[in-house]
Amino acid sequence: MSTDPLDALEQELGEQLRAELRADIPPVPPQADARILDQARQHTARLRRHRKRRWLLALVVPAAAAAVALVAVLPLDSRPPPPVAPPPSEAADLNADGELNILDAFVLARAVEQGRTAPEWDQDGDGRVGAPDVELLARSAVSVPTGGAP
Amino acid sequence: MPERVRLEECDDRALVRLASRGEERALELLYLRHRDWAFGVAWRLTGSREDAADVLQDAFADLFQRLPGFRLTSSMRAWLYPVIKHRCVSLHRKRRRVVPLQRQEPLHWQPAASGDFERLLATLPDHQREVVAMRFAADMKLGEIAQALGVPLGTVKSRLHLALKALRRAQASSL
Repeated sequence: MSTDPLDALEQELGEQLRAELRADIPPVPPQADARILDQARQHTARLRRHRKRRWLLALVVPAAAAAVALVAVLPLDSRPPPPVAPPPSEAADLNADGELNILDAFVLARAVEQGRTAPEWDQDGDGRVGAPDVELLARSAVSVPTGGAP
Repeated sequence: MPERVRLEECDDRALVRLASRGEERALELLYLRHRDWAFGVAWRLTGSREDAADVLQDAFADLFQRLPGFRLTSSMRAWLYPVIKHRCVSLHRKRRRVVPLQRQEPLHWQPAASGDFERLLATLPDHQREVVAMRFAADMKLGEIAQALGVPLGTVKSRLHLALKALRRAQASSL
């Protein structure tokens, strides 16, 4: 048997207190339930979209960084001839910010992932828009200008 | 191959982690698990079913907005209680500003019925009444109450002890 005076008091009064204080609590109105569950659904959908974007970024950014690192690490005399990347066209400026950069590759990656393509986004000229175009665009965006070295 | 864990068997922390990853059912379960309790607390604090429903919605919206990145370090009830209480106080203050002439009592746990203890509870100081209501109406553990109120466990025990002694005394003298 407990010797704690609080335990003893709780045992003595607890049952009656619980019965009285928990009586008459109304149920949650169904409209409130529906509103909150709808909010939960909308929020989790947003979280899923956010995660997807992060995954895409996690793929594109390291690929671009690896390309930059490769260019920087290779000795000058053993560098292969620069890849023939098509000159950046206006069509490659997918986010229409006036610049060709990694963000355009990101936008293209998202579009490809969502199945939205346009013929003018075909960067490698193979007649299809897909992952190779994203890669080419990313490479163009982060490539170091060649030529002009003594 | 690891056995797939059913969501219903996950504890609240695991559900929060899953909900942070966009698992819709985890967030729904978290709500369904705590809605009646949260609504009961809000109803006791506001005394109105409509206000309690608004507070419930606000409190869970607050939780949803914290995802992802939210880490549940206490129990869900200990986290929810101060959120609900804060919302109830805000609602109470707003009402007082909007209708300045209306006489309003300070926010406290409202009597739910006309029982003996409800009447006797009204005679206790606010901080003691709150602890009694959290313990017996909201069915919270002593540790949860301490976390929810941000006070040491000893303080909760002492308040509860004093409150119960006063209730027993008042009950005996009213017989």
